[in-house]
Amino acid sequence: MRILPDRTNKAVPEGPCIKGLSYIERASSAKRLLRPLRKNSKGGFDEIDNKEALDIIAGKIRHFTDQYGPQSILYYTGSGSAGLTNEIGHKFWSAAGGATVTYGNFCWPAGLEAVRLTLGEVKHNVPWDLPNASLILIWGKNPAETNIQEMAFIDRAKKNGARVVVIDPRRTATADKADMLVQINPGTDAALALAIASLIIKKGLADSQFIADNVEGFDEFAASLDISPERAGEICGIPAAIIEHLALMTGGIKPLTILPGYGMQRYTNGGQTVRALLSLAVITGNIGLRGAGFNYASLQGYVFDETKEPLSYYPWINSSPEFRRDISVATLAEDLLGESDPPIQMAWVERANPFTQACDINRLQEAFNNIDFKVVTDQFMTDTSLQADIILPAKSMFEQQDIISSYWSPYVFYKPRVLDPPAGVMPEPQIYYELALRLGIDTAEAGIPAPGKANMDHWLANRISGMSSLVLEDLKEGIREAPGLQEIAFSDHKFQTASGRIELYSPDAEKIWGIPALPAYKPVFNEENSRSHRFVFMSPNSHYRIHSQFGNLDVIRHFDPEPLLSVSVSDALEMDLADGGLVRVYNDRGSIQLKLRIDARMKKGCLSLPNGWWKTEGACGNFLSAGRETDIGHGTAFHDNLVSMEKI
Amino acid sequence: MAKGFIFKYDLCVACNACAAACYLENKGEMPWRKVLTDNPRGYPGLPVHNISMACNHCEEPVCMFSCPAAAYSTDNVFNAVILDKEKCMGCNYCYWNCTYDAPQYNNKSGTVEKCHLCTDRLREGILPACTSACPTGALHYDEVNNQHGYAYNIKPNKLKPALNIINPGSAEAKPLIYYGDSTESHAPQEYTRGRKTPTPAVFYGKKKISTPGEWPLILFTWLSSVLVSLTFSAWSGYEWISAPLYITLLFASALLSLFHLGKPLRLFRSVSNIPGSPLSREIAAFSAFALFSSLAMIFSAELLWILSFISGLLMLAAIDAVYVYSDKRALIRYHNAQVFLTGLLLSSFLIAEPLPFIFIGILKIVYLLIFKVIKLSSPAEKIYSMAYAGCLVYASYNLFSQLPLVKMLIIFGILLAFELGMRIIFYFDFSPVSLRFDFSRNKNKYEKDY
Repeated sequence: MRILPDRTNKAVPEGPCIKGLSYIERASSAKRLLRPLRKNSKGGFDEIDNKEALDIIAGKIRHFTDQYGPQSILYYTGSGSAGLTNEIGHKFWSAAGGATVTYGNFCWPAGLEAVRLTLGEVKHNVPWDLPNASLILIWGKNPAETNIQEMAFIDRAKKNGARVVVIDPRRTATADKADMLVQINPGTDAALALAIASLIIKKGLADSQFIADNVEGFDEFAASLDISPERAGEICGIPAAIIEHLALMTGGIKPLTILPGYGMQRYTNGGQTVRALLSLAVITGNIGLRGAGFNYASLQGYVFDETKEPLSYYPWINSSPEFRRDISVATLAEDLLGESDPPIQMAWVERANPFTQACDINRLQEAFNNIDFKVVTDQFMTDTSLQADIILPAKSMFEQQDIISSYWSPYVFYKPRVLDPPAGVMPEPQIYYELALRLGIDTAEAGIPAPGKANMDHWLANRISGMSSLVLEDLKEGIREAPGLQEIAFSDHKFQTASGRIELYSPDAEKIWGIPALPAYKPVFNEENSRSHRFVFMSPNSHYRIHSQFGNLDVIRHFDPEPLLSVSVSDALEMDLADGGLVRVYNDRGSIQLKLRIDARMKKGCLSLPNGWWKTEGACGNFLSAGRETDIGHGTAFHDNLVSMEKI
Repeated sequence: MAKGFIFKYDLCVACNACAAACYLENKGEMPWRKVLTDNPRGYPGLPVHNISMACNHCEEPVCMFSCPAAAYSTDNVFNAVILDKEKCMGCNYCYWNCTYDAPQYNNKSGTVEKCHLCTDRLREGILPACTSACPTGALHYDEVNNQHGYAYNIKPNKLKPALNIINPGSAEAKPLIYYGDSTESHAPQEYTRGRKTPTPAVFYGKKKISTPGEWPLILFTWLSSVLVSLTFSAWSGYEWISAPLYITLLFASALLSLFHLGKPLRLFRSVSNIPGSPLSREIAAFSAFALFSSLAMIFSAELLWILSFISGLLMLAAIDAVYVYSDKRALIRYHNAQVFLTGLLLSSFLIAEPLPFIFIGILKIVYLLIFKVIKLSSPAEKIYSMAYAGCLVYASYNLFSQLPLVKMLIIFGILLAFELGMRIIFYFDFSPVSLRFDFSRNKNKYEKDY
């Protein structure tokens, strides 16, 4: 099997990332689960056949539904595999009488909501517009590891004369390619952004024409800015002079593209942080221009979604009453433990690995211990698979055709089925079909297709018909730009907010989320909470994994064999830590043991362990994170995470 | 125009996709392509450069020229330098000689392996795996002019690699860092002194060969010079060297040389490249010497003595040539532990000829003075060198009077021990050409001089 670049894709004309490549191994990995497994009395697993597994599961569903009602079943899904066919699961549970589902999201909702509140829609210029920028502000993002194809556009912009500034607590691989790196304290981004905004306005660098034409609440915003560069410098851990310098650049160089990351919105002040950053693009008139914008995410490719993110994450957007939607993923453990009438008796976990990716794993273990029967579908024996009573082997992405899109590259893709699933492995739609038959559900009425390539294509064709100009047969020919794609987002100056203008002052922010209507900085780490645990525990994404995926493959292991905790030089000196030595990192929620890497890229007071390591691979950072929601969007504030460290 | 790899420094972010593609394409235990970083710890005062490197399929492939087993060939269509694993005897000599560290020894198979330019893919009209995997476009396969194979951080060489390197926009460019660790002032030695340097996944700044790992070669080369001196001594009438003792030593020596081969059974291939490979010549000369000298020991015929004398000297010269070929520095070319010198020194001692002994001894001491005492070495090496020189002087002094056999053997034993020590030092000094080693100089410099 070979994975080759599609040169017609203007966003990704070169090769895939290392994770994409590793699918070659992933599909045929010796570690892949190929038979259903059932937990035995000793806690190990025995192979069973599909028929037996499905009979047991169908029996349990019937039992719990009859005994406690369908909502005693938790249907828990993650982002492990995207595509339209995932909806078939939803259709099944709906037809089976319902279930309990979660709301919110681990990843990016605070930022999405911040952009939606301000601009009305979450979109940005196409990736290949970036070389037109004259200044690129990469804020809390590390595209060299997490959006690697963007680095080619950044380099092209540099060759065209653009300045590239990185703002990040770490000297990332992206920063190595930048002109300037400002290493600020984690969680203080809003303070820096608002101080810059204040200076821009004071120096008369704001784009008053653009503001007059398009912006709501500018005067209130300007009046609310009371943070001096000196004060912001103190908060962020940088000198005031640099803030002045940044303000001159931001206000003076146009077009400016800001590339914000998702890490800094996983704080309890995350939504306000993104609103503060976005205000910089707004007051300098860098919206709707070539080479300009605020590239948080672009959902222009999501043409088949009736409700787009972040709205789809909100509990009050509840499509059907048979689904109980009162568990927030951010507080998964607590909400599961608190669930009553009926309490959760059975859990179905699909495309997800909450036992590495949810907060506060020790508490989650308590919650799962209370659940009588657990089914996990996965390709591998993950930390979550180990919790299951029955594991169903999952398909690989090559084994099921689907329609997918992306939140960066503005295309719609038909993903063909290029391999047959191994004997014993059923794609999820087939699992649901088989279960539906056992439960006496009318599959045609429920919208669950019978297995087989042709049936699936038929289902997909129906699913997308009438929703856009795209048809399945045409999509099969090759990638297609999303219909209605705006290469330069907001170039029409139309904003889908209540006022129809850019809302710096957002009444909705106040009304829906109870936060100030204007962007503001609220400290997350203060003297009080830093007293007992003084290190900020960062869990950035690395190029070797997407959350908990890929790290188990041999090809990734070859390059990234073990979890290492990065510690700054200053802290290492202060605590007399040796490179490669062992430390215990702990707080009130848990404790993990890690090998050290002394890293001159780190800022003092910060520790960093890449996101996604499993407990069974050595260490999982989420034993330390607290279950907390972000200020807006029902996101998850993983990064409000203070820890202590001691030498072993 | 020939095709080859084109690498652009500015676009490489060390994501390892190229190496992973190589790993997956060849289902190997190791990728033949590797990504190196010159500042892996991100010292704030320095830029970070990454380079992706595999075989560059040189027009003057030193690996092929130096392979004693003639296991290399070139592909006519794509000019790829191909190693036939079935012919490789696992001697690692190509690895020693390749500037780019392209051939790599595989412990499991016992042979060397290397990039084959994905010629099977090229034949199908598909690009080599590493180049079609690079997500930023830092690595391409296209027409090259063989003129720009060396660039920032890479020393010039004469291999004519099919490689163009597009240098960084500014080689010393580094981000202006504001208030990272606020430790721009921390001298790195503060935290590296006395502690292990971190080695994540790839090793940096390490020599290509590990000295302790080369013990069979150390013993073999040292023993060769001893054997030559023993032949000499037996020729001149010393009867304490019996034929069985000699042949046992000879046998041990031959076994040792086998020891470091991954595929000892393919030893017969080792003389397949006498015109090109110093290693082939060494093995041929050793075989001749072994044959003539053991026959001479048994039959004691004058002609055999002369033949073993000539083949012995040729063998010692050939052994030294093997190392000089891989490491062309004066330090190795004029090393005082070259076996040719050692062989002559020991021989003149055993036949009790003070003048040649003193002459060679002075030569050795001069080399020592230049490289060990004045210039390069550590205090321990300096002390050792002084003691060694003292031993040479003491031995010369004793040669002027008639020595009783026991005393002579004792002094000879001391000399042997010192020579073995020097030979070990030779292996510490010996560092074959290596991109990986050169590439990390930047960082080494920083850790030492900052």
